[in-house]
Amino acid sequence: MAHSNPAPADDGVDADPRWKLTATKVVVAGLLLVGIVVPLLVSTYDQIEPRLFGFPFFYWYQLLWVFLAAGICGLSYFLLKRESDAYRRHHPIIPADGAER
Amino acid sequence: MSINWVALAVLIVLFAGVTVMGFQAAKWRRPDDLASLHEWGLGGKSFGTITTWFLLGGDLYTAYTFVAVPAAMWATGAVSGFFAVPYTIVLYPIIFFFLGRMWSVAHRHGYVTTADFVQGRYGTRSLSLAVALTGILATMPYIALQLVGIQAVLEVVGLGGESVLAKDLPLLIAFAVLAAYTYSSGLRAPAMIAFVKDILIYIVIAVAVIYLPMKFGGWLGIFDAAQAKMAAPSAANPSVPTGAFIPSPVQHWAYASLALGSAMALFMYPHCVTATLSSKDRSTGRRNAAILPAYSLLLGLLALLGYIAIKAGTVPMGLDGKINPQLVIPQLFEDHFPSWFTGVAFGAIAIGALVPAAIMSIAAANLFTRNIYKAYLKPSANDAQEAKVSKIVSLITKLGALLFVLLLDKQNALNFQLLGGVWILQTLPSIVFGLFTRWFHRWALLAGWAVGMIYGTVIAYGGCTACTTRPFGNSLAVVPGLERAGYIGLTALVVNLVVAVLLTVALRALKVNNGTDITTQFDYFADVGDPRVQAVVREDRPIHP
Repeated sequence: MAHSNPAPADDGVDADPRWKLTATKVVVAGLLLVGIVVPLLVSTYDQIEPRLFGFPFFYWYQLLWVFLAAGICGLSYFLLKRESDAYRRHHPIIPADGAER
Repeated sequence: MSINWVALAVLIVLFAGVTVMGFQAAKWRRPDDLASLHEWGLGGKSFGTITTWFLLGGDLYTAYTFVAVPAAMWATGAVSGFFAVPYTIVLYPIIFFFLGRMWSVAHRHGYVTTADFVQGRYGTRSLSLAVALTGILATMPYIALQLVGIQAVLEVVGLGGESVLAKDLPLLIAFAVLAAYTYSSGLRAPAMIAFVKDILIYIVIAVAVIYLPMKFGGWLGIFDAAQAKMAAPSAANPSVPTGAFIPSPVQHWAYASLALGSAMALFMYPHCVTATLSSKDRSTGRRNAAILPAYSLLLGLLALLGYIAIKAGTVPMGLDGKINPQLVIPQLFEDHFPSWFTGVAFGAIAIGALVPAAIMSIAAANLFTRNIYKAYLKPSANDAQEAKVSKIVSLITKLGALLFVLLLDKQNALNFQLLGGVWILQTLPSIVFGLFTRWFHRWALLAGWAVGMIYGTVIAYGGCTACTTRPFGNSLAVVPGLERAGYIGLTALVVNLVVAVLLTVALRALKVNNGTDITTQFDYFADVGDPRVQAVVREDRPIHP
């Protein structure tokens, strides 16, 4: 997904520092992409063995990913929350709105 | 087949109970006035993590999960059914990308629908109209899928007959109940019933996935039975196997594209947006992305009920004497559980279909009122008129869904959802890309949407591979250039994107006016407490000047 940063068409002064990419955002994007791409690589799990409780690998591996994806989202939530909390601490005054219309 | 009276009685009691709840819901959290679109359609935008969890769960796990997916597993195995598991896995990382921004910009500007946002971002009524129309159209087959689920339960109970009227009468009654309480209570009704629904469903699933495998000798035997069935020659065409136990290499893209396409489509649907926007702060949606996967595990186990039915030798015989895969799960319950528990299970399935059907029809109605009625037909409409129109349109949407059920082939009901996905996916570039960048040109997005819609509809209508029924018989078609079958919706989205990118480059080079953007960067990060952001949006400002 694009993260480019054009100024909106009508407003040269409109800018928010949070629009920019940060290290945290890159890490989160990377984590999320792992959670999107890896479960779709069917060739990595299209086999029957090894079985687990009678479940062929194809089936239990994908159910395992339910928990991995939840973990990825939980970790991403924590990372982004930490970043936005820090931002709020350093910006106790709400930035000028400049959006009166 | 005779009527199972005990199951029917339990089903009716449960149904009556939630109906009473549905009407009572209007009093929940005492809104001052239900006669505005925000109150009727978004429940005042005040739901916390737990309510949102149930509400989203009610949206996501529907008759699709309980009837259509296991039916597909029973009939043709993994490629057509189990893809729903990776679908609901990759769903959460995908929505995590944009839910926060969508919430913020909506709460800063009072947006109720995705088309509102597109209007604000691009200042282009034709583009927001395209988004609105697509949302309404795509919702209808999805609601239709819910009606098929209710109908399956009623048919196995023994209601209905061979005549057209008798067969569809119970469906029409259920439809009328749904319409009535949605009409009177708005979003509060399904949000409240969602609690009951989930509790019922958890009980039923827990019993089913523990008891049934034990009864049939464990999972090993169940999987072996499924593998044997899928490898056997197909009844319709003996030269090919019945289905796929594990996707073969040529089927990998079909499997992955169905999962990815469905996941990207889901949060473009008006009803999922409604549920997201009705949460009380920016992070509720993301927090939910981390806890909603609990439902995905259920989905996987439910899908496998289709394999248990193979082992159990369930025969999903319809009242008309024909095999109907949609009946396989209700039939499995009726065969192997006491009547009273069968009734509970049927109640869970029926209510589990009603809740999302209600949410979907409300959301489609919001779209119509905000972005068509108010934008084009009657810009001066006041709150009460808006709410009134929404209520009527929610009825019309449900009638449209009824037409899908009555006119299209129900054998493969999963297709209904995938067909909606083909359409709704075409709005993704305007909505999601718009949340991150203004690079795309408004006319390029509109052209991409149009090309994607036409391509997807034409291919889905008749160009599918291995269709046994037309129109709209299969959601897979050969991908040009790849020479393998893939989900039509995803292929159409790629076509859409290519058009949008190429035209954007051209239009930007020509410096064609790209519309007026009334949002600011700040809007995409706003949270409760920031200027003009309210947890409960009370005002209803017209967004179309």
